[in-house]
Amino acid sequence: MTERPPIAREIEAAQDRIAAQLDATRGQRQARFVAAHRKLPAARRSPVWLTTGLAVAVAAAAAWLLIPRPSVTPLHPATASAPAIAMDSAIPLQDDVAVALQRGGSVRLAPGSRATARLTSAGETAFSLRGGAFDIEAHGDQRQRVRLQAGPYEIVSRSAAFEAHWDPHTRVLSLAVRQGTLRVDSGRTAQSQQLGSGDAVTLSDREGRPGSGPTAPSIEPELTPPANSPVERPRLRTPPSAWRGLASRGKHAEAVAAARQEGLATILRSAEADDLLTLARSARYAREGKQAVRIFTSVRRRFPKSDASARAAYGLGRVAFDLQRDFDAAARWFQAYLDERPRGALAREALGRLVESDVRRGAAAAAKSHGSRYLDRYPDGPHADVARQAQ
Amino acid sequence: MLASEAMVWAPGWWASWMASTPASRRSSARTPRPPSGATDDFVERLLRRDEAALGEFFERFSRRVERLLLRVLGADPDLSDVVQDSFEQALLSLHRFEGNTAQLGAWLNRIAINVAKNRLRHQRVRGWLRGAVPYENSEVAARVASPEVADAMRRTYEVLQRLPVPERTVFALRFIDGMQLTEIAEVTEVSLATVKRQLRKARTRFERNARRDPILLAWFPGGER
Repeated sequence: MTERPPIAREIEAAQDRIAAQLDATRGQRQARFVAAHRKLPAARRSPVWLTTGLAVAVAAAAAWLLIPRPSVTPLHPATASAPAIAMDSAIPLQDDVAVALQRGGSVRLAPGSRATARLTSAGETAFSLRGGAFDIEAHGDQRQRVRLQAGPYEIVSRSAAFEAHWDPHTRVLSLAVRQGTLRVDSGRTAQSQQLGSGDAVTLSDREGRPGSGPTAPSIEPELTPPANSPVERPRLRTPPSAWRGLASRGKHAEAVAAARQEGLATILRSAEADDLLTLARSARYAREGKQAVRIFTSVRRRFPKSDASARAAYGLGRVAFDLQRDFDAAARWFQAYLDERPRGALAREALGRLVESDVRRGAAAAAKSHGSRYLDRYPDGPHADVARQAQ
Repeated sequence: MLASEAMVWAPGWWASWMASTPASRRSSARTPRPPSGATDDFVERLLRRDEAALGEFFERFSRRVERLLLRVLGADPDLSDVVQDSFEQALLSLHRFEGNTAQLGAWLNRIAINVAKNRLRHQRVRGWLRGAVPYENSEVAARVASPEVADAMRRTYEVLQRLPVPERTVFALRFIDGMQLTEIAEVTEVSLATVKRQLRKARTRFERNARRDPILLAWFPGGER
């Protein structure tokens, strides 16, 4: 007869529950795996007659563009369906279309997107994005000025490369700047914000939302993207950050170094709470206390009152305790976690470490009180010995 | 529980555990590898990186891989990435796989166990270089188990952390997953005799360490629970 220790059965059951929780993300992980490994169809070699025809067409287009025309300044159509963009006359652009800009670079509209384009007398190329994703790659000439209107927002760029996604239903604008700088103005509040290379923000026009109150439109990044957004996210994304992969593989020092190289300030402004907690944990493991404190603090500032914020408080306590040996600060942070999540997943650990912090900082009365509370709740907990000694 | 009591229970549950494996299974010197079958259509499609086959591959085998990794690594917060690594490793070495679809699962399990062992070795090296890395799985465990079980689980894996990686692996597969010795030999790619030897050593080390922890001790037969 097989007799397994009871703990083995309990562990197996708990692990099966963890595995069941993973079911929720299985489809997503499967899609990621397939996308990473599927074989893309090989590029077909164009027939000779097509290549020749295209060369002739390009030469003809170039010759046509070189002929001066007084009133209309067309942009190069980068696809056959793209119309020429005319001076002070809005031309509709729809679906997967690309146009070349006058002074170098191109603009591409994602499938299902709608926009209009025109040239202004000031020499700008002005686009109005009605919905969907828009990718611009302007380069070379500083005089290359592009103006993009999306809802109440106006984006002005010079020789920049960025993605914009405007959802007219949720009235959320997402921007990711790959190169150069741009300025975002909110038409309602006259607020403006400068974005630089590597910045990614999500702006929300709350006033324009159906059923919303008279709140002013926000130029501040709304860092939690709306759930179940009916419009697809921009197709053209910046490559995933290296630090996430390194952190998930346990390469903590390398992850922190990669994050620093990518721009920690940008990451702190734009990353999700869970990603930030992962990065902060990597910083803690890499014994980079200052960076860990900076990241955890950022989580608490950006996601106040959330579960992530409470976890960040616990993390700050661990940094203070393990790395900085500042037991006063550690006690404050563990107490903060307990105040915010008295029945949270880390409540027992936080209370135990609070007792330990009290003992280390010589606060006998506090240690006794917290130790007593610990023993009441977790008589067999891992800090029970410390709590008993504090009595 | 007293230390002397601990000396009493350990041989009992160990002996009963060993007895659960049929003698006929123990006799083979080395677990035979499955016969090499002709590579079939599904494997061919995987080799061509066919999208539907890749999806089916993940869908069909990921649950078992997840459970195996959980047994060996514990409630690792990065488990889904380790699962992904296992599948990636499998695809990278698929051209060397000579079996058919029926043998694919066992082959993938071997790869997953190797990925888990490498992860444990890396964690150990990091621990040596930068001081002991605390066992961080309590957050994950606390979401799925009572505080007492999560605590016992943490203590169990803390003790397992002190075992050499091969011993830890066979111990987890045997006692937490409930695998037969021959299956362990198959998945860890060592002989049955080696599995037995590793398991014996793992048991001795585990007991020695567990005896210092009365809470953990209480969870074993003869303990207080």
